[in-house]
Amino acid sequence: MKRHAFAIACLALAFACFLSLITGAGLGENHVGLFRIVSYFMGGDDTWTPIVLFDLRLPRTILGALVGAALGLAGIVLQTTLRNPLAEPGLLGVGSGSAFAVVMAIFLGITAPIYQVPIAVAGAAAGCLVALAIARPRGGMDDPVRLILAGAAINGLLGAAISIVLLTDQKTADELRFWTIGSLSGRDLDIALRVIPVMLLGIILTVFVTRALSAMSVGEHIARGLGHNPQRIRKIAMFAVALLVGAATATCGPVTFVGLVAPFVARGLVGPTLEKSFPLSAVVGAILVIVADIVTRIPVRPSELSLGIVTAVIGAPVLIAVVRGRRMPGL
Amino acid sequence: MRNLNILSKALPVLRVLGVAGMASGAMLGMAHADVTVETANGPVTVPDNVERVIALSEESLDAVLALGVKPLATVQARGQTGVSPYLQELADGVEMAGTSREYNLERIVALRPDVIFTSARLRDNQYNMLSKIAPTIVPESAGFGNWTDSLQARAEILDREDKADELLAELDDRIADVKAKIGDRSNETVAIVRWTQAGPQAFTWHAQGGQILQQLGFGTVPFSGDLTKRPHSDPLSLENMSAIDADWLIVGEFGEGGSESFDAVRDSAVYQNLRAVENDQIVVVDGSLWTSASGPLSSFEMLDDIEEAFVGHMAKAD
Repeated sequence: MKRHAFAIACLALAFACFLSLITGAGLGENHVGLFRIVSYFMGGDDTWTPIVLFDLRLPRTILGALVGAALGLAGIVLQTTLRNPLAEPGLLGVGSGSAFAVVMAIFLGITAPIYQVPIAVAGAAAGCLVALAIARPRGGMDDPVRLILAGAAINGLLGAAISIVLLTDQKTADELRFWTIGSLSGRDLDIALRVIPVMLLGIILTVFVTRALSAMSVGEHIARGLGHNPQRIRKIAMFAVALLVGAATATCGPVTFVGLVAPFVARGLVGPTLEKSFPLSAVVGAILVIVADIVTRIPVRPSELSLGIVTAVIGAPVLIAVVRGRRMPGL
Repeated sequence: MRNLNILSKALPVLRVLGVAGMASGAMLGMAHADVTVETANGPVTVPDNVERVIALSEESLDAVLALGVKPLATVQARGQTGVSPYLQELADGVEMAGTSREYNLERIVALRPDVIFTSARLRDNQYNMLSKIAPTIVPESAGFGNWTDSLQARAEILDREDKADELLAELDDRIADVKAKIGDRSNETVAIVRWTQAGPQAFTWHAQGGQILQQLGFGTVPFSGDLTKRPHSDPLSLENMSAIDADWLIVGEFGEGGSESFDAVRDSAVYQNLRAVENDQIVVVDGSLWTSASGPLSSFEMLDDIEEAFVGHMAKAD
């Protein structure tokens, strides 16, 4: 299992994507299910199936995979860097910092889509920095819960600030409702073209610091002895996290708990070796978001359930398990 | 990504081409022409014989129902879980396919619409999606309560232009009728208030309710008159309700908890000191109708409210 965990996870991801493409809201006579899709590809005359498949479900599946991978990777990088198994972008104010920045930008009239990604990234970085400044973590010695409390305070503050803006400005509220709850519905693939470069940069930076982070997890002295500069490595890693979370938030609004659950699962499967757990966490994150997105489509009408709510329902029990678990300060 | 989009368009087109060549000859006999209308996204052509209609805004639902067509689906009215109360009877059985901001696209596809009507403020990415499903008609003008142009375009698509002319003439008559009944009001001011769970909001004088009252000769207070842009409402605290101390107050109880929130302040000194309250010139109405709806049917409803309140007040005074 351990040896093949990554391959199995990739297979599971492929299956999740397949499920996402054949699952839709409701099961009426016009529902596009597996049978219709197969008969369409066999050459059946059908104008509606390709619309559902290529314009509605394919974009949200691809975007879900991108967002999930970014959040899963960001989560494990953040946890490793801070040596805190509770560090989660959504819980640390990174996601809400990002959402707040975008809401403020739209409120101030900056609506061009081209600015949204950089603004979301800047907000993510700012939110993260503020949470870290409040909690002042010093390596592994600090109480991990302290950082979560700082993050909760930031989330509360920024949430209130967003509410004030949305309350007083109907137009911003109309345009940005999805920013405050998280959703993959109705996004087109143009957004993917804008966020993929940012995500790639985040991934490259992560690859660049993985070896150093590995050394640092053994001990800072050893890392220094190997020629790494822990201060600088931490800064680069945090910047990578801000890029990944900012890109994810720009795509679908804040989605919490993915960055907590995916690393938890990944470490459980392959242990603490970063070279193995980093990519696995990204794949598990992608599976999580795609499955959560499938769940949003099923029950509630007229509108869909919010993606953020589904990931929270999946993630909250894991948070409790980690907090109560014996191995918590083990990073 | 782009390639896949092109693929999705090209596949069905290629497949249909062969069939279309045969079908067009048979269609010639039917003589009806497709309808092309100007929209916010340029000219859009809708095939003749539109039957399956989806109205994705409060205003387009009002217009389509007024023209005598029942759409398959619509969206929740603001502050409501279904359609606005004044449309409940006419819109019985119309499916909810989203909110004013987010649509359930899979449901919309499953309904196989011939045409989709939306509000003027549809986002670009939403237009891109909807227009793949069916011709999507976004009104050109985004102005407050400015529905006459879009009504005519919609009537043309639904082949009910006579009905649209009829509605507009009827509305003019009705305004003249109410104006005659309530007499000269050029010295009186009215302010419209949307009362939500969170409290009162001054509502613009330039949306449909204010426009009708202007046509009847009323003026308003500067605070309401100055709300010329979005946002069209401004939250008021109880302390500064004096900013809208007009001769008449039309209070629209809006959404869940709006009515309770209004009842809770009725005994307060601030409220009792308003001139309209002292003179018993408070008109309590449905906020969903007065501060969110627009279109011909809601215009008639508002005129009914006005007639009832002002004629009733005159009868009491006698």
